[in-house]
Amino acid sequence: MKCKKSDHIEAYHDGMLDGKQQKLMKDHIKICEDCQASFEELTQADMVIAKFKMVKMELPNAREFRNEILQKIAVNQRSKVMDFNLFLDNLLLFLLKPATKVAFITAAIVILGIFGYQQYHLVEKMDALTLRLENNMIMSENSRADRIEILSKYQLKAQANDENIDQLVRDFVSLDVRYKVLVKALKSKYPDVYDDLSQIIDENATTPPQKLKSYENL
Amino acid sequence: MPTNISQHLIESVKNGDRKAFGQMIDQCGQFVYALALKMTGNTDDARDVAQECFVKVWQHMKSYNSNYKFTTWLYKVAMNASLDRLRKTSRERKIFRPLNDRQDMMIVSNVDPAQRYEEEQLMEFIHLLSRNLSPRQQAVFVLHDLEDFSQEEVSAILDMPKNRVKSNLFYARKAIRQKLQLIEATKTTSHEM
Repeated sequence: MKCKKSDHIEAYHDGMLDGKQQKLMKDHIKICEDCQASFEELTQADMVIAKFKMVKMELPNAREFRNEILQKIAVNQRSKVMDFNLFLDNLLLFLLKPATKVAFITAAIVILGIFGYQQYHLVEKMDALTLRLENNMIMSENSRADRIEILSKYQLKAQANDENIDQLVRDFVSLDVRYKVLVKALKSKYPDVYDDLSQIIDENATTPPQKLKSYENL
Repeated sequence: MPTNISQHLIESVKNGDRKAFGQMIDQCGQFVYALALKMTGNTDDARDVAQECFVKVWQHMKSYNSNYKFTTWLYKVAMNASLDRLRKTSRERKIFRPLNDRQDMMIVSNVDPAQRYEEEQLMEFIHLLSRNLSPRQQAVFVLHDLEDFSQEEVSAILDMPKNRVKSNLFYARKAIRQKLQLIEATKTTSHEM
């Protein structure tokens, strides 16, 4: 009959039992033939394993082995560069697809249209500004009579274009020009009081336009 | 097990020095190949696995922490590559063909008949391992009993708790010893007859 303790023989053989159990097993083996035989078998099996441990497995063609690895590494690094080239190729192919081409051309037209429209308005604004500056220069360079003459032309032009005369006045930078324009406007609106006004204006040539503005309510 | 891989060599490889990496392969290739062979039981597979291992070492060298032992890290990479190969071949076997005992035994060193005999014996033993153990049990057995790593080192290489290393080792040894005893008993019986 098999010894009950033989189940622990393997753990004992490998030193996996705790100290006390290990000692008990050691004493038991001395007196149990069955366990002794099992222990022997284990030892023999381990000798076979130990024999395999000693076998040296030589790597054949070690130099080739190394060079092949170094080659693989080089190819891997090259393939990273290749991957990027492949990405560029794919991108180009994508861009050359008819649907993509149509989408791109449409987008380009829209973008250019918006840009062109903005530029056109900018030019218009710049022209207006240039004109206004030129006018101001004309105002300051010409004699007083001439200035009034020019301004009246502007006024007429403004009226003809149905523009707001006050807006036109506000656009002029020079104070002098501003109130001259105002006076002209008043002349057209209120001819009966104009003479009195022009007299007052001549007397108060440096009067700020805010004060003169009160005449608008006459 | 490779003994001394100098810190200087490791740092050079880390910095992308291919010449230094070539030296590292010369120093460690033999050990990595032997480990792969003990796991796969096939010289072609072992060579492939060892090469895969070194390619991975090169790719992931920057992630290697110098505070840990280099050989432990190297064996970890080699063992993972071996286990991947074992899983792959076992899947292929299931799909394409039944396991044939001697089909995978390709021994290349044909110079010395004695050496060749030893290698064949070892191959048979490895096939015995792979037929009777799970890949993880085989890994524990190979590292501990054939490569002489301590239980702590096996635990670190396989990312396995130490108590599981112990239990896997116990069951692996039990299974292998039983098989060896059975083979021995069969031999004795055939001699007697």
